[in-house]
Amino acid sequence: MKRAANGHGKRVLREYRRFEAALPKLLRRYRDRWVVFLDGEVKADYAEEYEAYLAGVKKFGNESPFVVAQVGRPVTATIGPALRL
Amino acid sequence: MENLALRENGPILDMIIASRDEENRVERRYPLLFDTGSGASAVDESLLLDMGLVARNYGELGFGREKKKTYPLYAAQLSIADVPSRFFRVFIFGIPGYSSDLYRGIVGRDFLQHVKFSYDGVNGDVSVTYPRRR
Repeated sequence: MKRAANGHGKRVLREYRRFEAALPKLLRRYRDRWVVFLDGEVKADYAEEYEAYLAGVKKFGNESPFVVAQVGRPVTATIGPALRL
Repeated sequence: MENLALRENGPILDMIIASRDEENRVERRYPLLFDTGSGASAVDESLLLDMGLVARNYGELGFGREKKKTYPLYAAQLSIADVPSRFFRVFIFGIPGYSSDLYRGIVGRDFLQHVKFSYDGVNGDVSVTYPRRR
């Protein structure tokens, strides 16, 4: 995986991996909800992404490695090969 | 008016990438390629880091038929520069080294879903209109 070597990004990635591992359990309760995920658990859930984002920043601060994600709807996209690495 | 650069290089527009923090708002202007074939927007990650933006999620991104890889997603806002415009909240993929001499990334359908966009390749002209707010 290629990504910039930045400490915050690595901390968020670790939290994201924990989120992925927890998904089977989270789906039962939070399917399609936007969650603020930190320390291996859901801290809050919302209907809208922006609500979750704002709540995460307000409660934990911008430097916190919390993840904002929609449960059961991973972001996946294909982009044109106009620019290739 | 005919725009030779747009005709030769495609629909490259100056865009404003902004942070979501209204109190300490950071904005940067970059040329980005409008790409209706792309499901998401993606820019060189160094631009986002220079703005102080932070990753909030990760996603899988593929280039054409290539196998998808995991990249960070940055919470941001995106707008077209130099025209009366609106910002739309997006998650932008940050990809290390994703730049060319002409543009620093692409604008995908996560942004384009909000606007009516047409590209006149004959005359090198782009028009963008915003639907009325619902």
